[in-house]
Amino acid sequence: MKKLRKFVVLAVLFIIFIYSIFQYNKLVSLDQKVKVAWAQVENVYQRRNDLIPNLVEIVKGYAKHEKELFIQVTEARTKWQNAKSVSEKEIAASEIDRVIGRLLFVVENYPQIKASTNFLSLQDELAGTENRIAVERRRYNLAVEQYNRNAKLFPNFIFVRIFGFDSEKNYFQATEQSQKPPQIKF
Amino acid sequence: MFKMKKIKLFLIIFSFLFIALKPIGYLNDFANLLTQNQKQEIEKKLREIEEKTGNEIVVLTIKSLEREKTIEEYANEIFNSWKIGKKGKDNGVLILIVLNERKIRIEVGYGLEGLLTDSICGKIIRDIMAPNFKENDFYNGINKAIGVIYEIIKGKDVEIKEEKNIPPIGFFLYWYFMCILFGYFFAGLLGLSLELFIILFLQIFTFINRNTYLYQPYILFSLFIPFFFLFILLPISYYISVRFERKLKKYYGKKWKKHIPFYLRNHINFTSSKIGYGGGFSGSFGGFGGGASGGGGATGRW
Repeated sequence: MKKLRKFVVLAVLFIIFIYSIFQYNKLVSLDQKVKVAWAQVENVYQRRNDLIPNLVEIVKGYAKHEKELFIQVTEARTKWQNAKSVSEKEIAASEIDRVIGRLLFVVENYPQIKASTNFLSLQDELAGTENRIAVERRRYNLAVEQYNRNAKLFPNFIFVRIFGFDSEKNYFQATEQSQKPPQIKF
Repeated sequence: MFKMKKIKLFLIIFSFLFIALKPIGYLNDFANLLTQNQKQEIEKKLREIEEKTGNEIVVLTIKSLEREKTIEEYANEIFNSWKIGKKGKDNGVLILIVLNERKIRIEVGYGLEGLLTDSICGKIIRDIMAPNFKENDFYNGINKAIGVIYEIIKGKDVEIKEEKNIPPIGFFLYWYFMCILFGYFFAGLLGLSLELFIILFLQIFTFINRNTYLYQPYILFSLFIPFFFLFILLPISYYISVRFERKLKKYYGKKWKKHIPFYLRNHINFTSSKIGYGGGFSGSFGGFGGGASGGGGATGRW
């Protein structure tokens, strides 16, 4: 009887050990997936950031007096460049959203800009970049969802704590500012 | 026979209602913008482009978008579920035309984003497709757009296909069946020899008398050895055949059918979704190469 009990305890421990190995590997790969997805998001943000100087250049050619706006643009860019954490980047990105919106609003007042081929192609690039951002954000959220679903299930969250992984990763949410259309004050 | 056909037709018609949109070729004119001849011409052109350069250009026309979905989301979804472009190269392009909303989208795979930039896509839509579409000349709009896209992306990634080095599928199948046959044969031999060995072993080295009841189970056991081998081999050979077929299909793509020997062709056509009737509609499309896109491209209207 005693022998049997010993055997059962050992068997259970062994099963837990094996399960923890699988769980650890799964957590690592899911965590990595989220990181890759985030890198991809940053990638497309960077792409948009690189397009902004072109946009500023075009607008500058026609509307030299919007100096304040140009300063804001460069500030927003450097803010994004310096942002480290996911939430910081998110806030900075929404600010860039706003700045681009304002630049495009300025363009509305200048039919010459809208007619120029430079601006048309730039607009295509901007629209394409926005779409890429939307796609990569969706994929990031999917990766986060997968991670969270795994990390919150019953035996798994114990291992998550033991191994020191994040118990929950944050979804990408549209910030309140970016949900509003850009507002212009004259 | 007639009944079979009817059931098949029924299944085909209703599969469109229940299963998500599936590609029927490089041109998927679900909105019926083109005539039969125009369809064949464009399909041929797209096929040739794929054979020459490996780039997969796909045209999809639909009547209207599903609710609550933008054309960008829809195009990206279709692109990545159809896996347009070759795996790893992601050299696919999807031209999506939505009739009722009068919208066009060119979605570009990751691998072609550098050549077919968003602004070029926008220009193709504005300067080539939209003017033709406005005059209801869908054929010219699509055809010219394909021509321009082909010119832009053909410089890169010219995939030389070694047609001569492709061994015929009949050859593979022949050796595959031979291997199975010989496999069973040798397994049987191995089992038999093991069986004999056990019997001999029992007779020589044990003191169990042949006539005692103790001897019977050993004999019984050894008789089953060949069958054990059979049962192990059967699943293994099945697994190998499935893997093998998938690999070959992937390798040949849509050429898969061409290499099937004549004595198997009828059988395989019957089991696949090939539809022998209905003018010009061939269900024998093997799918695309496994590419992905990240939302590059441009959207426009006419």
